Amino acid sequence: MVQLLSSDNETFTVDKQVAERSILIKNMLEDVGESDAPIPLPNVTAKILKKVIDWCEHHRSDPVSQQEEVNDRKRLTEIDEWDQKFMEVDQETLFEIILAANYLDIKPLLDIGCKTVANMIKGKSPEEIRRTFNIVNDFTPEEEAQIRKENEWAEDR
Amino acid sequence: MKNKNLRPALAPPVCCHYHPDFRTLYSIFAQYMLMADVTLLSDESPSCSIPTINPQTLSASRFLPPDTLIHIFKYLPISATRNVALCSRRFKVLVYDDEIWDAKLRLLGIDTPITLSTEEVQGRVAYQDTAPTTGKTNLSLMGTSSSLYINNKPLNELIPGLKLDPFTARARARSTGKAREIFSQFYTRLYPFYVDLRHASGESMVLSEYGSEPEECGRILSKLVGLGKCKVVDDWSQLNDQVEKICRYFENACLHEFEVAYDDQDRYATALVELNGGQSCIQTFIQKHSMFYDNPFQPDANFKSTPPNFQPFQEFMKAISEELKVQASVIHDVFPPKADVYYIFADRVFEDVIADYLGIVLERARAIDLQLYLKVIASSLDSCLEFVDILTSETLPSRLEDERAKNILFKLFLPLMDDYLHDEIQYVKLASEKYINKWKASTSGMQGGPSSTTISNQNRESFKRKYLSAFKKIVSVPVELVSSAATSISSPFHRESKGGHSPDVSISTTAVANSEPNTPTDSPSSTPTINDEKDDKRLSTATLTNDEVGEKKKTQVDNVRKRSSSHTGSRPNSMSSVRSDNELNNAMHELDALQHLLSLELCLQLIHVNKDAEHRVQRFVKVGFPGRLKTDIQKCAEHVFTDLLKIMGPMHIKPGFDRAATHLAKYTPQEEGETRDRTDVAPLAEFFELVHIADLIQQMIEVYWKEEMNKIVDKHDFLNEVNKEKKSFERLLDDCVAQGMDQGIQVLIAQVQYILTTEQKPSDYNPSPNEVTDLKPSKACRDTIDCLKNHTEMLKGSVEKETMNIFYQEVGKRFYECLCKHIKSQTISEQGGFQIISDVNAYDNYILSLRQRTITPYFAALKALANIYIISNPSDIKDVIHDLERYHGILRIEDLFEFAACRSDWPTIRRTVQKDMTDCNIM
Repeated sequence: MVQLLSSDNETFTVDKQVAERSILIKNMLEDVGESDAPIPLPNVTAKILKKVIDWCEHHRSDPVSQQEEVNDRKRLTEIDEWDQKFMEVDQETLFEIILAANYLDIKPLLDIGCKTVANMIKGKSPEEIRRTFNIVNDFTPEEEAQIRKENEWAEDR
Repeated sequence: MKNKNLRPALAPPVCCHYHPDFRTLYSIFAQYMLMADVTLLSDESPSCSIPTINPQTLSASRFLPPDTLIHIFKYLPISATRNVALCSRRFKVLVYDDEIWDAKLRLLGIDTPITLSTEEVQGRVAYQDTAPTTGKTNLSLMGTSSSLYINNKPLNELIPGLKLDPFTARARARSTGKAREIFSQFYTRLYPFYVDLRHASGESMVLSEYGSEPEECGRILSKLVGLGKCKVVDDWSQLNDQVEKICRYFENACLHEFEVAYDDQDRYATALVELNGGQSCIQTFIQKHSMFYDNPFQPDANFKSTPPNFQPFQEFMKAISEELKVQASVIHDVFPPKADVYYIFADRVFEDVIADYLGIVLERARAIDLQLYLKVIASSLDSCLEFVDILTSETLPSRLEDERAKNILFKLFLPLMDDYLHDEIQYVKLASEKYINKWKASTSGMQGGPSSTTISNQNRESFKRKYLSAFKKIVSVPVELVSSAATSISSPFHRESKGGHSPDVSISTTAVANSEPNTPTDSPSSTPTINDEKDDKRLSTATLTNDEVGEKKKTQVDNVRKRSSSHTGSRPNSMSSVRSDNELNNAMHELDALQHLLSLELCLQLIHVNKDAEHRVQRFVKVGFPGRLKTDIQKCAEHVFTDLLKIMGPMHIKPGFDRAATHLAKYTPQEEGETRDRTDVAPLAEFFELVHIADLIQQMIEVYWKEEMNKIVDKHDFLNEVNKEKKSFERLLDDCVAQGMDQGIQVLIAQVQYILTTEQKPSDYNPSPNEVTDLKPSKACRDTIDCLKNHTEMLKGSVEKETMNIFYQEVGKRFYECLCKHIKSQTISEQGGFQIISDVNAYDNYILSLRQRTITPYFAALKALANIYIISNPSDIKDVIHDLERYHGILRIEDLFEFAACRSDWPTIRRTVQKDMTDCNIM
């Protein structure tokens, strides 16, 4: 069993196998060895850590694919049902899960998160996307026209 | 090392001193990383100023690092990328990034020079270094760190397997945007065809436009498949199904055309290769080749006649090499080079045709005879190497790279090697033991009377030299030339042998047929000429041994001779081999008589069996098998050699010496009686000869080792098994010699004593007064010296100098003791005194000839002593006795009196001589 300490000082006790879905924790355990002291995860709040652990529990026995084949894009935009449900959270949480997955180095979770976001983006107009990501249009109109021109080829016809 | 992102950066603070609270530090650092990330982000989008965003609504999206964003963008359909690009500068930069588009290009099957992924960071670094003049000098956080070098390596590369940190890898300025441009070109070209499939009720645009150009059509279709994999549109799955359908249709059509239209075969082949690598048509092409389904060559044909005849094998190999040549051009005409059909074809030929055939042949051969099996496998290696030559030959239109061709060969031999190596070692053992046992059986009959023919001393040196030089020549003559019928099967040019000899002899098949039946049953095939001639010789001199061989072999020898004379190219070689055979034979003949204990001939046979095996193994060594086999083969080659020594040493040389030692131990001078020449101790001579032969054998081994093993073994590697075994073999020889030597000296001295006691007549030193002495050494003296001389000289040149010295000294000392005892037992008159002086002088001369400084004083002392026998005045005798310096401190005064007591007039002079002594004692 491994103890994980969230940024807001909540301790979670999980199976070693579950915790090791995170490459970060796995490497850390290899380096530091077994220890009862909780592992501090200062970038992850209890709420998100809980979600992540849930996901890890569910996927505890997935085969660990070390090096993803570049051509193996089967799962490109497909997300399995459970994961789809899992990702049905508000956007803020979704981004935080992605960040946590990135930080904890849980590649499959990161993939799923990214796919979910990609599904959100596609079909949206630039303005809608800006809103989603809470960003400001910093182009001049000329620049915008230039980019439109550059991307003509990519438009649906 | 696994991919451990964060650990390298930890290195400076933590790795050096183990901080007690490692984990805390770890996490603090991780937090720092995150903050740094944010800084960079705002760097890249300068106008996205923080005050415009309410800190409370500060979304996590603000923190999504560039890596993650790129990750997200990868999943977008192409049309969505446009909208993303229009969002903001930062998003535009990210969505234009090479990483996204490189991945798509790879799916399209296009390799661009800018194909770089995160996994290839090191390559990227190199790339960055080569293009530093992009004008944009990005002063990102880590931009400087990649210019930190230690030992000419960027800092981050020092830890192998480690990714560069995300900042360097993701520095947007380093992305060229080229990948996107290239992709856009392909996309624009392919997109109409792709989306056309949406309404695929009618004929597809691809087929209608390119129907007449199968090659181009295939190319486009394969690209469409790639585009499908990129999932550029939302409804990709239906479209991909359509693409697949069209591809299948197209493939079938092409395949049909390929089979039917022979004129345009190459066009359709190209089309299919363009489409999907053309596996289907390659398979069709290969399967249609008659070699695979209608192979006229039956492995059993080789074994129809009772002595297996490998003519069919030869024909089979020839047919295959012809076929490989023919197919090289056919395949070149039909298929584009990138389809690599020749390799596939060759692979199939090896795997299906040759492997099957060879498997059966080897199995059958093995069932018949081990040696036959070994030969067949060695010769098939040769044939296959020849195939490899054909496959890689520059002159043929299609060719393979050396390495791949070799790999096919390895694949063929891999499953056979373990058995082969095992059998090779087994064979060497069995064959060697067989020869030894045979020899034992043949010699046991004539054990009774040890032959007395010894080589005269003066001949011995030259004999040995002659023998060795002949042996050297024979060892260096390539085995292939002399024998190995199996090797000659089907190979018009032999593989190189070694040492500059390359016998380009194509041995006629009749010769093969002739020699083939013989070889499996009798002596080592590598040496027919040598052994045969020996056998003939031996038969003619009616000494001993295997009668069955001679007749058959004679014809074989003739064959070899004829062959060698008919092939001018090989003449020098074979001539020299024949000549050296003759020399060897003459030498052999002289030694024949001695060989009931140790047989040079047997050793020669063993070496040749060994050499035969060694050559086979070394052929495999030369091919250079990969991996574990390489060491296994090397081990086997070494094993074969060490086995020779292991067998020859304990099984032949040791027993030989043991028997000689028992002969020595049994010997007592008296038994020999009067009839024999007394200066000759038979067992001793025998032993010394043995030492010579052993020496010769050792030198033969040395030559053989130099000639054969130095090719594969470093001679200075003292840990190597071969060198260790050779050392221990030499040690065994030395031990044998030393052990026998000790006994030899005892026997020699016993003989000397016997000669002295039996031949020294009392009248020698005590002649009747009127007898005239001629002042020559007495007969006993001469015989003794002869005896000593004979035996000590026998050893010359066979053992090391130190051993010789020790031997001489030991002989000298013991002889001295023996002589003293002898003189003391005599009665010597004044007149006999002259006799004894001349005798002692003779002994001394002999001893001086040994050049042993430690023993000369003894005999000088004896010389001085002898004077006391010719002095008539007792008081003078007394003076001489007391003048101890004369005797180099070797003789004590008591000894001197004992010697003086031998005088015939001792009773009369005794008082005078001893008087002073008594006086002295009193005083």
